[in-house]
Amino acid sequence: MRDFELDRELERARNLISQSGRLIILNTDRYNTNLQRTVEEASFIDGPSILTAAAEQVAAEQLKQYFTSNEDLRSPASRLKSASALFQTFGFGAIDFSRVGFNGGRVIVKDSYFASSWLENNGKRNTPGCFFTAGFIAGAVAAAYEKAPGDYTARERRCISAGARQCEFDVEVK
Amino acid sequence: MVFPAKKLPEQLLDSSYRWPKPAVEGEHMTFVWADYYTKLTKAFEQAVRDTAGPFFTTAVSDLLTGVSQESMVHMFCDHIKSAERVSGNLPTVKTPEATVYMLIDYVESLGWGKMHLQSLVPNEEMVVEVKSEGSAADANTLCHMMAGAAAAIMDAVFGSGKTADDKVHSFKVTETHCRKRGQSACRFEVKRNNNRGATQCIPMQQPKS
Repeated sequence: MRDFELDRELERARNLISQSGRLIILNTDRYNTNLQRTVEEASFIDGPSILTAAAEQVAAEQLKQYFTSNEDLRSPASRLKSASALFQTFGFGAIDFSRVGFNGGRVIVKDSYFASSWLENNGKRNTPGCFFTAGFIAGAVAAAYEKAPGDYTARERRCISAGARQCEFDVEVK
Repeated sequence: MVFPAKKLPEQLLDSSYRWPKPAVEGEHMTFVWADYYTKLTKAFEQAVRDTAGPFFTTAVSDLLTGVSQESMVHMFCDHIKSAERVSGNLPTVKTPEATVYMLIDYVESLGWGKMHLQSLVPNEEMVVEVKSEGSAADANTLCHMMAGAAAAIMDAVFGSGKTADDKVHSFKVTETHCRKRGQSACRFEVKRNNNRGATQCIPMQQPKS
């Protein structure tokens, strides 16, 4: 089993960066947390679901493509390890999928970028707030087990931004 | 830690660069799939339109541009300070015009595509275009981000006040052309905001029936 391959490319002529052929961009903690706050605080829509669903769909699509194009990533465990490495190289934190399986389980995130950034820019929350990470987890587990986006849910039960030591997510089959 | 803008992507592409990452001039940078922002902003706009009506479409667009402008002006002000500290009187920060060029270079280093300066009237207005085929703007993603960044450049260089919080929204931006509408480039016109305060922080509360 190999680790995640960093096949990232910079096309200097157009200033575009791609990861496994998909366009990626750099952004700041301030932008990402402000964007989250804006969507979340629109009180007459379900902002958290929008934030989570966007991350879930994109993670599932991108990881499915990556897994199928890498023949040595056949087992769900190797795929989730690869997803964890990608999460870390993107700069989102250290994510542990070792306690999740086909029927769900628990995922731990230490040093969470979104939680730390929220604390730094907006202060302590009353409720968990890692909606991107929840979506990423649900999408990654679905891709690892060759399921469709939406077949799993990831609900954050503890969050660093709400005072917990680490972020914890319950993953369930929907 | 100070990264020259031209070198920023190369620094961050280094495989040893992992979380917890060093802050780049106080900002924690992450890579994000461009598709994520596309899906998120489209879903947000759709949800607001479905709930509050099409009248709010422009308000949402302004709101998302404001998120970018407010965020980027802090990053640009920090970058100017770093450049001044490192470069002293080198040409990059010697004149306001040179600083504008430096910040455009910085935006481009984020992988957002090429920003072409069309015109600049110091302290008054700036016009930029983004037309790289295959750019993030092409993927319907970055019009809000680019618009906010263009306005933030003028805020940071010519804005009123000393701090980023003082300077933000000294300028306003209008996207007059867009690739999404079949035009050859996205064109952003930035002008001094004579109605400062009125366009900030549109409250997104439940509309009264």
